[in-house]
Amino acid sequence: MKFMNNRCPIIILLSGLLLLGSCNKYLDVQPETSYTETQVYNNEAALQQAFNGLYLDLGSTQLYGSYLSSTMIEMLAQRYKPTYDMQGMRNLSGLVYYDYNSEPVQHLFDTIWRKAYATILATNVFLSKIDNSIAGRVISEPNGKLLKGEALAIRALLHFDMLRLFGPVYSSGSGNSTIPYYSVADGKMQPLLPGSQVMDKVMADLTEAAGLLANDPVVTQGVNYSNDFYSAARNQRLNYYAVRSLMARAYLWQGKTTEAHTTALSVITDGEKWFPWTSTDAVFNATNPDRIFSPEIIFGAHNPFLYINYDRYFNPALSDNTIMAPDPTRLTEVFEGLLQDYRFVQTWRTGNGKAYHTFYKYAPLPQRQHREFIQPLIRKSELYLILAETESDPVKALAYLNTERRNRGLANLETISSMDIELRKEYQKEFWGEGQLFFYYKRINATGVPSGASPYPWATVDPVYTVPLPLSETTTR
Amino acid sequence: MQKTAYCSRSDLAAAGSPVHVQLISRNLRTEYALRTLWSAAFRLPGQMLRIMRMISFLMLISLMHVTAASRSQTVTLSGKNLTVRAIFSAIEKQTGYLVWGKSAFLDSSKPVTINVRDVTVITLLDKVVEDQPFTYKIAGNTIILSEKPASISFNPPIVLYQTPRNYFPFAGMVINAETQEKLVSATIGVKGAAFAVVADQYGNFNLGDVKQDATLQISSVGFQTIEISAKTLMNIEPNNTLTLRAGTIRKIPNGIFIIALHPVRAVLAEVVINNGMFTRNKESFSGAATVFTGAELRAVGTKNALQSLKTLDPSFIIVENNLAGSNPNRMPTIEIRGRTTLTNTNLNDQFSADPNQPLFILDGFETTLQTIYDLDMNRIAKITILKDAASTALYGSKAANGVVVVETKRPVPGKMQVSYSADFSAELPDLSSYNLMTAEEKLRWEKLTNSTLSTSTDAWRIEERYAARTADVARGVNTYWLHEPVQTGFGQRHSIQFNGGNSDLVFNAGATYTKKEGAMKGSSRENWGGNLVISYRKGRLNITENLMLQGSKGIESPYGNFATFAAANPYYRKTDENGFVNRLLDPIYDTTEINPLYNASLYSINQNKGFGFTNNLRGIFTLTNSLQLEAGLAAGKNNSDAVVFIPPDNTMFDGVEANKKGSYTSAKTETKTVNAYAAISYGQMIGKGRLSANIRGNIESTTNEMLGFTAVGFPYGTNGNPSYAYGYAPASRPTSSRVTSRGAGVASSINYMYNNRYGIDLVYTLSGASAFGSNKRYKPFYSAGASWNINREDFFRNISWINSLRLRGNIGYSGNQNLGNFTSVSTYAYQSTSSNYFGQGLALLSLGSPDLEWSKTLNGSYGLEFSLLNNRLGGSIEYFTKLTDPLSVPAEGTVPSSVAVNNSYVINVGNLNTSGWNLNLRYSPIYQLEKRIIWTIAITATQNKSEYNGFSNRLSALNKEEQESNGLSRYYDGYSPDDLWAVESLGIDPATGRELFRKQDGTITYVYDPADIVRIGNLRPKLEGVITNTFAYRDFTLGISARYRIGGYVFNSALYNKVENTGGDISSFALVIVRPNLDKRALYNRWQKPGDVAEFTTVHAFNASPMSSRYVQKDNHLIGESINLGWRTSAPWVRRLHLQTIGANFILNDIFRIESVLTERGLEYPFARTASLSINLSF
Repeated sequence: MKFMNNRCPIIILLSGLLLLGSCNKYLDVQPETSYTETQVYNNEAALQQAFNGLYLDLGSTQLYGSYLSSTMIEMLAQRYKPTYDMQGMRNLSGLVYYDYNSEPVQHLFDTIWRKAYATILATNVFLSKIDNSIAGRVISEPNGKLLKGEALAIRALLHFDMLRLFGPVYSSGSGNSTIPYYSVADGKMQPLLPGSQVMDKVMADLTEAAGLLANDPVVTQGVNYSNDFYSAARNQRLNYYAVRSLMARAYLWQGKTTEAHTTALSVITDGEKWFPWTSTDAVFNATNPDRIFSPEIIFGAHNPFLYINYDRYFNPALSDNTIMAPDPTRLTEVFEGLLQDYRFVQTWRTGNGKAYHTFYKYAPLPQRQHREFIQPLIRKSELYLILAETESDPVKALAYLNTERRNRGLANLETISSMDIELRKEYQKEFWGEGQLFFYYKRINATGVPSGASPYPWATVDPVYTVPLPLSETTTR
Repeated sequence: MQKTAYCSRSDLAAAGSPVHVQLISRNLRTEYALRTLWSAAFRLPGQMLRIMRMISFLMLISLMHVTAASRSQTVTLSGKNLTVRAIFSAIEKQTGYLVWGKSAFLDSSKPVTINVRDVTVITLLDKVVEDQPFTYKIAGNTIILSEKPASISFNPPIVLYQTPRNYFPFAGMVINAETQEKLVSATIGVKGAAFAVVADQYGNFNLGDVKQDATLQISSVGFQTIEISAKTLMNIEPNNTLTLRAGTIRKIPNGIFIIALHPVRAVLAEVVINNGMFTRNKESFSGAATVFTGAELRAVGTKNALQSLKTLDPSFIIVENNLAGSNPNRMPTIEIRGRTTLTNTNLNDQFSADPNQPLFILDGFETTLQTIYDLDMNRIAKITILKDAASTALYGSKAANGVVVVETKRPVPGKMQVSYSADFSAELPDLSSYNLMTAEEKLRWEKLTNSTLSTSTDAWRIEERYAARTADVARGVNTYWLHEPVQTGFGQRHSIQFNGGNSDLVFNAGATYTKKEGAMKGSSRENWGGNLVISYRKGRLNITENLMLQGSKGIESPYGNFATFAAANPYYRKTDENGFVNRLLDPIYDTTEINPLYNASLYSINQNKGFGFTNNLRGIFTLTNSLQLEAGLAAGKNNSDAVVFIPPDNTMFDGVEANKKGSYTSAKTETKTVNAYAAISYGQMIGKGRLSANIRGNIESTTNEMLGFTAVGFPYGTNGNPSYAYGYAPASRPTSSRVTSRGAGVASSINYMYNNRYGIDLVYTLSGASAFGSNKRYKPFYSAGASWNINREDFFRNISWINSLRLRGNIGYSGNQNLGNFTSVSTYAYQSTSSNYFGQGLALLSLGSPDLEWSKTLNGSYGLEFSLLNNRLGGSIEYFTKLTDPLSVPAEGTVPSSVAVNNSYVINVGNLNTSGWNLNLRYSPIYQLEKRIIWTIAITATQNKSEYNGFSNRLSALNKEEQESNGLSRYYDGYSPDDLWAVESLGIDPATGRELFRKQDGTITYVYDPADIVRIGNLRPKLEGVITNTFAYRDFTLGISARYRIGGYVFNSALYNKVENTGGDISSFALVIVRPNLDKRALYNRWQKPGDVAEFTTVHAFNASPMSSRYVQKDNHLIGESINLGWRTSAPWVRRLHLQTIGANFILNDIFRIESVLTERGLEYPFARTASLSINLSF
């Protein structure tokens, strides 16, 4: 009894302590419906999926799947008549009238902003881990560098577009505080930077990305549709040429025409062989017309919700006040009455209950294609337009423009009164549903833009280019 | 044996050998522990026999059960030092008698030397039992052994008493004079000597020899203390009883004393605090805890235990849910002593509980709110509410909000008892808070306000519609829609319990069935349950097995949301002239107005079925009188299956493609829990003090699984079978989740009570949980407390009007892990329904926050308890503080959105300081115990306030969000989470009918500016409590409990939505806008013309009235929470009916409500008044 009295608690206490030690393992529960970063970055397949998640984010509705490509950003560019969003009957007319204080518009920009920075955060988490994965031989060094380069490019792309959207007109002053630039995933707030500093960081990221992508398979193989995660479907990734093209676009945004020209030219010189002009046959294919000119796409986001978004915004079955469609007069005016334009013939159609032309560019394809679900974001024609804009020799400049026009079924222009006017027309025609027109207007600080709301050809508006930062951003600073 | 024992004992007593103490106490134990049980057996031998047979069979105790071949009535036996077992065996063989009894008798029997030939069984038995601790009785051909009743006279223990000595031995048993229960750990000592013994778990003690001139002290916490000189004791004649003020002392013939102590006061009758892990003596416990017996809970109400606790304890608050009303399928929100966390956003995954909800413990193991809600109230023995750190620190990370410990009835040995109870209840919908317009009034209001719309091109149509409506109203159409979906819901509960067994093996089995209809038609909740408790004691081992099954079926009303009926206009007819419920209320003019009865008339399903079982097994091993080991294992599983079928003809599918009409949603969840613990308890007298210590280690694991899907596209007229669906909901996928959470911890506590005066309590807990993140697996929690029984001090002893006075206080830390699973590392999950050329992708689910500190709450609790004027006045005052620092706030909304962290990323910001006090006071103006007439008035009161600090401006985004959504809460330093914020209104300008606001600078304006928002009031009542009057007259008790709330503010939604802001969005596509029915005040009390002094803005305005202080009103009210009339008797006529007691209780709950604010209550489900009758019978 005495023994029990005195020692028993001690023994049980000791064994209890031992138990506690082994309990650590017991308490280490791995969630079954989620993965920890340790699980993800110690396994190549999981790492690939985490990386692929970034592209799925880019292709999401709030980013390049819809808002920043075919719908909201195009409303800002006066493409469509004021409309309601079918879902929740949100009034989108605020976009056409630049009423950035209207609740649905504020909400829209808030979702865009949040999704962009959420993707940046995910990218930064990826970037903080990839070096360890390479060092730990989870992934081979060449492949690891490839992914790292692409991730840096994603970070630059998103920041650049946030600056283009929420920043000021760059030429009229790059602004004191525009947007924050996030390079670390630590849950800490970053300051709002002047536009020039944001651009410096964008360029630095792109330059580093281009360096890491020097051995991109696209340089030697072009675009193929194998099953290899690293070399297949490079046009659906921010490949070497896409990064260089992005740099050209960014130089031009900063007004650095020389650098823009050299960079654009280098992409055309080295990479054009992999991105040929779309053949007439492909454009006019009776069953499967290539409405997006897929071979020319240097980078496009795969958008799994493309058709769902088509039904939501462009389907002719939608009622007149919920469909996104231009005024017929305005549409004809944009295409200058030249309705044989490849960009008109297959893309715009009447019927299915609508007497006016509706936008078919992203309508479902009858057969599965590799190009299905691709949302074009960087295409070769933009490089030609950059070259035309930045070329000091007018003859050469016109040649660049005519190359682009020729491949759209238009006749060569012999003499032009103003390259600026012609470029503006091409931007209006070329990038329907691709989100570049508003940024073009903003870059050149265009005034007197044709109004999307009014059917009269002479009706113009002066866009309000600077979108205010969302309240969710500003009220907590 | 006993004689011998005493002999030798007295011989050796001077030497004080401890060996003999052991010996005797064991004999005593056997004797007293069983006496009650076995003496009962002789009153009803036949019945007892049957039961004994059954028990013996059930419990597989096989004694000498041998079927005899011969039938001779005489016995021949001889032998030296024969064991009793052998003798009985021989008797059975030779005579055919069966011998029944406890094996313990044989163990404690003494060998017998016998030499008899052809004697009767009786002769032999008489000889055998002579020196044994048991006696016998013959019933039929069975010999029943039973304990020797104390009253059987022995040969006087001559050795002890004939020789006058200076010493005499003092041993015996201490019992409660009222209940005759043994008093565990009573203290028996010699006054002035530093020596005392503690009664063991059977109430037995042996002090050894004491001097004749000593003064003996027998005391037990919660009982009066007997002081008596040893000489007086010595002189008590055997079988005589000495009656003292503090109790009685009876000497039984063998020299043992039965000491019965009177309880100190009625309130302290429940002296044991069970914190779910250990038991504590209330008088030595420094924590704040309240204990309610099952009978007390049932007297207040029969709805469920939680509703009754609300009435009994002021700090137990059920937050009134104005939306869900009295929906029987909605779980209540519970808070003990205010909140500890922010609940601005939904932090939780679907399985975690409300972070402000207390922890529930059922019979020693953690359980869910749902289980307690559905628990049969007849099974509850008692509920202990632990409020402060002294007890909650034991539960470490789970107990920041207090602990509710529920103990079910333990089986007690005795003949089989059957108790049956039936409850019948009625839920009467309470629509009195609605103040809706009649058809004529509504039409008048429309005429008054629609004039502004007459510029519309469709004016003629509006006129035409108005004319048609007027004609209808003139014909007498005035539908009171609120009556349509409600009913008087009847309910019944039947519960039967069986209890019995001997002291080795006891059992308790029961079954219950409940069906309750709600106040809305078609809504009901059905429960059934079964339980079996078997407890087996063998020597030092006690094993208890407890199995519990619970099933439930909740059905929601097909009438859906009650608000639809409140919104329906009274000038429509329910049915057409043929009595059919049509789809449209008015197919001619108002083609968008759906008859609210239409959807209810369709076949639909909305139900949730549940089934669960829990199996608890626990063993207690008593090593020594001061050391006990305990271990337990609980395993349980709960399934629930929720099905919602909405038929295709439901109006919500209007305009939906045919193959997407109708939906069937199924969600199945399964929860599995395993919980195991091992504990050591130690208790010992050290000098004048009593030390008890406990250490307990536990591990637990909970797995939650969920699987759900939605199918759409049903043909008309189907029964909701999902196989008739066209397909799954488009772009949907099955939902599934599986969450495992584990915990492990060690809890320890030490309690020391010196001289029944000063007590200290220390608790240290190391608590580990998988939820803590890998860097910080374990967190320590601790508390310290002290108590002082002032009335035991010498200077207080002479003050006769103070019966007890006690001061206690403690402080300590507890934690809150209900906040969810946040990890220190980043986590990923597959992106839903999304893939590209490269397959699926992982999305970043949450960013790891390695530096996160867990919320800890520092609890302080101080109390004074008193009992005065011969226990007629009693009560307690408590003060408490809760400081949660840092708060864990989801980062979203506190940092710029570009940081892109979501609600899973938690930051530490600010703190929440809650403090308050509770008062319990009871006084008995009439207190005639002997006549059984008692009238008691009890008042409880509570007040608490909370304050945020340390936010600086980090939550400004949340404030902005609140402002945009017209919310009334704000997060500012120095303000309370319950503060209501709005612009201060100065009323309505009689000249214009517009509202006047006060700006921050004091000037008056028409312009509403959010910058002028100030704190208007606080949601918490300044004072809340319950006033109870109990009047007991013989077998009758009448109790009336009324809850009062004074000084709180409420947001009057009826004013905001149904008196003003009635304009709505005019930019609708509909031709004629039909406004929902409104509060009468929208017609009578709004401003109409210049000069009107009105409470509400102009009736002609369609623009929205912004959130101003006019909608925040001071709310004082009085609720008739419980009125009950009880009757209980065990009079002789009851016994003639072969019953032991009959009881009946008639209870009214929430029967009236007097309040200063006129607002609608029960928006989506009406509140109900409840009347119930419960009948209890025990056999």
